[in-house]
Amino acid sequence: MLVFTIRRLIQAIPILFGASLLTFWLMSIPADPVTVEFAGRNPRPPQGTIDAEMHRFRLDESFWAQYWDWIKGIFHGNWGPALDKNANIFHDMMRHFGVTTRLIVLALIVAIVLAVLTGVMSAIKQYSVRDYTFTFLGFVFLSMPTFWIAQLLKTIAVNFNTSTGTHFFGTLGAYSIPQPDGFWNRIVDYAGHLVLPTISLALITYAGLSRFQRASMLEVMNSDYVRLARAKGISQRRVLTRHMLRTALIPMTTATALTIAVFFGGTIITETVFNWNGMGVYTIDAISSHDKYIVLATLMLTGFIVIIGNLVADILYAVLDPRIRYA
Amino acid sequence: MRSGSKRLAGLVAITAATLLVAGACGTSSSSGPGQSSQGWSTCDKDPNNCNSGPTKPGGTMLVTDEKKITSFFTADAASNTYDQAQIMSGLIPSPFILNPDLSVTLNKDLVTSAELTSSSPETVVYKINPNAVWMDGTPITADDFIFNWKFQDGKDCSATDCPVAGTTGYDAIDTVTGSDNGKTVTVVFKTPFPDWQALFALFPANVAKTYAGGDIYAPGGLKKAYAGFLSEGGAVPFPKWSGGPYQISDYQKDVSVTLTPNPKWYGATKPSLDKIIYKIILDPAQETEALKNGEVNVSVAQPDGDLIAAVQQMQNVNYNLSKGPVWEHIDLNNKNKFLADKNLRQAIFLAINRQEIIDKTVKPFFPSAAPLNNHNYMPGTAGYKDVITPTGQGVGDDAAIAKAKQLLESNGYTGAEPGGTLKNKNGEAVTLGFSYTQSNKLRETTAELVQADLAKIGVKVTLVPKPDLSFLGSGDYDMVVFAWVGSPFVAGSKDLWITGGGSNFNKYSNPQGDTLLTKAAQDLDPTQEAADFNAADEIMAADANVLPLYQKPVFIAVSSQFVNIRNNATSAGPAYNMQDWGLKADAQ
Amino acid sequence: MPKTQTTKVPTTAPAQRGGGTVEREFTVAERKQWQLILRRFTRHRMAMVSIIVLVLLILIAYVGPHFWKYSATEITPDHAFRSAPNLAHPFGTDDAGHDYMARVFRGTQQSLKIAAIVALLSTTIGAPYGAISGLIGGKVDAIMMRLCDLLLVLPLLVVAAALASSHSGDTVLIVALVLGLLGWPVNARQVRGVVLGLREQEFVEAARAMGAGTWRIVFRHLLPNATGTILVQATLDIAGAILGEAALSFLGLGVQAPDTSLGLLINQARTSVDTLPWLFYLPGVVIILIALTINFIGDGLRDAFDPRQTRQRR
Repeated sequence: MLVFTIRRLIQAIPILFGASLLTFWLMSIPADPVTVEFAGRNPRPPQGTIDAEMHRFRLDESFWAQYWDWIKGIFHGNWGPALDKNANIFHDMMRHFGVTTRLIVLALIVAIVLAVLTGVMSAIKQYSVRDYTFTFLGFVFLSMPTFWIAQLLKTIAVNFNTSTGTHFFGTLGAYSIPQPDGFWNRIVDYAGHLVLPTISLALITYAGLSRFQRASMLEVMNSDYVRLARAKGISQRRVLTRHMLRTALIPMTTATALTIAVFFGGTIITETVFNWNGMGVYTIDAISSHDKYIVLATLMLTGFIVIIGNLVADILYAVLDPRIRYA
Repeated sequence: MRSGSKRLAGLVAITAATLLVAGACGTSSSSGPGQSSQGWSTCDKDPNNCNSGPTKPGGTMLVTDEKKITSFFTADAASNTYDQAQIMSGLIPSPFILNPDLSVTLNKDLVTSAELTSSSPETVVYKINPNAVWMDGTPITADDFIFNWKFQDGKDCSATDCPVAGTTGYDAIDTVTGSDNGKTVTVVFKTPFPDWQALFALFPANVAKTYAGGDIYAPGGLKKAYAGFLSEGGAVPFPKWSGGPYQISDYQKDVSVTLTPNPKWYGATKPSLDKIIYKIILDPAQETEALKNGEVNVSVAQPDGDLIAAVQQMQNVNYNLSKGPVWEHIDLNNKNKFLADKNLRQAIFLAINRQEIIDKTVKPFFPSAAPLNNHNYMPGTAGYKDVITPTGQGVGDDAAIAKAKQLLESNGYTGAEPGGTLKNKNGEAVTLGFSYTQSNKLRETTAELVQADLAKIGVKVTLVPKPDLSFLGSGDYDMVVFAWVGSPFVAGSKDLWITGGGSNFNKYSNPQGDTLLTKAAQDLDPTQEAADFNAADEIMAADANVLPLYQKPVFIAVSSQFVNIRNNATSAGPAYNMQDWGLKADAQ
Repeated sequence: MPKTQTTKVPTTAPAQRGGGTVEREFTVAERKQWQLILRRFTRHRMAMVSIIVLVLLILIAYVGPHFWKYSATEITPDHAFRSAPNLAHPFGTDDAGHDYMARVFRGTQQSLKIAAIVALLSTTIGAPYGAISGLIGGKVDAIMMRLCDLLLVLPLLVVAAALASSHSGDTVLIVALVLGLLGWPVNARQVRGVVLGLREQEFVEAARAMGAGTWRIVFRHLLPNATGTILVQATLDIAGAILGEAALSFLGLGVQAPDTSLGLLINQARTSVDTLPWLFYLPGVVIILIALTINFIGDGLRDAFDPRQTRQRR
């Protein structure tokens, strides 16, 4: 297992760099950022300024020279130029990463708890009204586009605010500006801004996880050792908590690892709708302004997370099923 | 248990549905489409005094900023954006003010006078207000003028070291000298520059000196000074200086900028607000809800029907739409093999119905939208002259279509019929692409209408949506609709129309026009300047290069508890009178 | 599960044993595998309802425009701008005066087109790829899976942005290609997982012993036995494509005007949520309906193919 893990980690390196090369190439297809930035300006900036900008962006070099400069730069902590002359891509990215993480952690916890609860309850009374209701609701949320849910929640919250006169629900960013005074007021402020995006993210994800949980729960319920326990007369409740739950929860860990990996790429829309300064907004902004070095940096980070997530999932999968052996 | 949870779910659903609908049926503070909300009805006639009133001390104003801040150094090419300039208006003093009614007046807080004392050589003399000082106590003197000239003249500091947004005007200056203890500044130009009033938005020389580590004008000094100013927003978190009514007291990257009053402000009106906070909201669609939610007090988003309708429903929010110097227009690429023929260009412009375009794009939410008839001057300003109506272009009615048909047929074209195929002398069918920025719904409608108009003379138009305007520079278009940001300072427009001009993307060329334009760009007398520009404009209008459509409306929405903040459609924006902003004297 | 041979059990007793009537024995014919699967599927009520709803939706979207008087791109002659749903325009009209029902029809068509292409691409590339990789195993498997990882790591938005800017042609096709080409690795992984479990079974060894090549084993033995997984994944692909297209269009990187899709309709209606809510909610409801029905069908398929998850009714 250790050898397997190390081998996969080593294999991750060419994958990341292969992806970076592809991305570098893809980002070179549309117009370069300098042209886009100065397009349609009147008066046009002096030619000298435009040339200086092109040089700063290394656009006067060949494709391979640019790529090689970027690679070299990484080992010195220089992740490349950005449109913002004051940017330090690595620091900025980490800052945004922190914001996204704050957003994800809570949503993930809520999603997992909801998923386990609904999945288990569904499985225990399969084909009951409760099962159907949970299933139906879960699927409805699974089928909603992210921004639809987010916008819906936002509209409800804003109407709530205006009709009750309070300002609890914040729709802009992670906290109010200016921040309220007092420790508790700040906590409430943070909470008010955290509620809506967390619910959006959690609702979308819990449904998928819930189906997973339900399926694995059913598998466990049909297994022999559980039947034996029931036959011995152990109560439903005890069987549930002592025997079934632990086994049934294991596949959830696989699913969670995969979900975390997906989450980091998937918060773009929630962050845009609620104006959080996370990785998603950072990336989409850079893509629109053709700021390729920022996109490359975010790619490396999210790519790394995706690979680690998949690796963890694969390891857990192998741990579960002894038939699978990785050579 | 089951029914309980079902009932609860039902209750939640009903509440949610009610709250969804509740907002849509709110009471409105004004009825019907109008340019301003009821509270601001005088704004249309008297834009300079819109929303005026006495203030009471205190209050925090929350304003939107639609772009991230790269650096506070707005002289730099990359940082020269509208939003950053708005924030810096509170810190940077300029000799002249652009008013909401598009007039230009002297900034008496900074200079007691600024006059053109001689036309050849062009000489301007500024008398700086003796009380004008920077926040650190240093008086504002000719040193500041000299510094601002040198780093932007394109000579004393190379483009690599000082990549400024523009050198226009500063590169025409010969000398800048100070006298009377630096409080009188004499600027002598080597070539005439009519837009001299636009110059000298001042950055402090003493701060430059600190960044340069001594003598600014020693070798490498300007480079260090420039780099120092550029680092404000990065290594230096924000500018610690100010020559205006406010100073920056806090900056959270990508989140907000906080302004507080400058204790050393020397102007006539002292700021009454405690704080102004610019919140960075990148997605303009979020601004409306933020306004409704009270999370911002001022919004200057791009207006459209939805925004106006939404703002009208908001209580306690006033709004205004003004015509600005930003104008939408349709361009024809003179290098296109079909469009190189002047007759075809004229026929195309004859066939386009501007009023219909206006009726179906901006008019629904901006009733006073009207076709624009000049390429350099806006209606209501002294230099304006209608040069389009005499050509008959832009009307697109049956008579105009007939005229276009006749024009084409008498020049070797065939098939100028509705639904027909127009063919030129060589028998080639005329097909043109119409480019526009794809995210703009109004431009999409414009494109569709032009497509229908040109089908009446047999021209086949295909729509070519583009992600951004980067294709303009390379001339990769046939027809295109976009907007220029005009200005009360007209001389710079020369580059739009002159042969080889940097912004003349259509590659339009007319030698007679060139002569007039070159002269116009050096006329110091505004009346003469207007006469020359308009003469060149008449020639160009006959040549059918660019068809002006309409002035784009500029929008502002303000919470009703604030006064003295009003719409200013020029590039100066609402921040032009930041020191006057304040809480209404009888606000709760 | 390997395909079993069907055996027929006599349902009638041998005739003529002495006098008297022949008694029918109560026996049960062993059903074919497919019949079992179909039976389990039809027991899933939501899946059955979903099939009906989905088919209706597709029919309306494609047949509806032929019976409806307005087209999606014409500016309606009665100059009704921004009007709420009424008799003349059941879905109202939008900002530019287009009849919204016609636009929703067209949007649905385009979104369904994208979903179908994506599912097709992902399945036809991903399933064989995953099966081959799983069967061969070893170094080849490792390399093939790393290639999958590479595609999974590539950011969807970057690819969409790059392609969108260089070809402003048939954006529907471009979106479908982007989603399909970046989505097939998921199918591959799923099928590979099934194949890893299958390849240890005797029938594979037997096939090899009989001289069957890799391709033959994959297409005649492995893929058919992975049908359940493939079908379920295909439904997930369809649902994912519908939602993915909506997300891309929201960010401005999906279908572009003048063409339309459900996602683009919603995006264009973003600013109208409070003022013209029907523009925003109606296409959203259609998206939800499509994704919902597909998800239920997928769930039904999953239940049908995997008997471990079903239980006798109480």
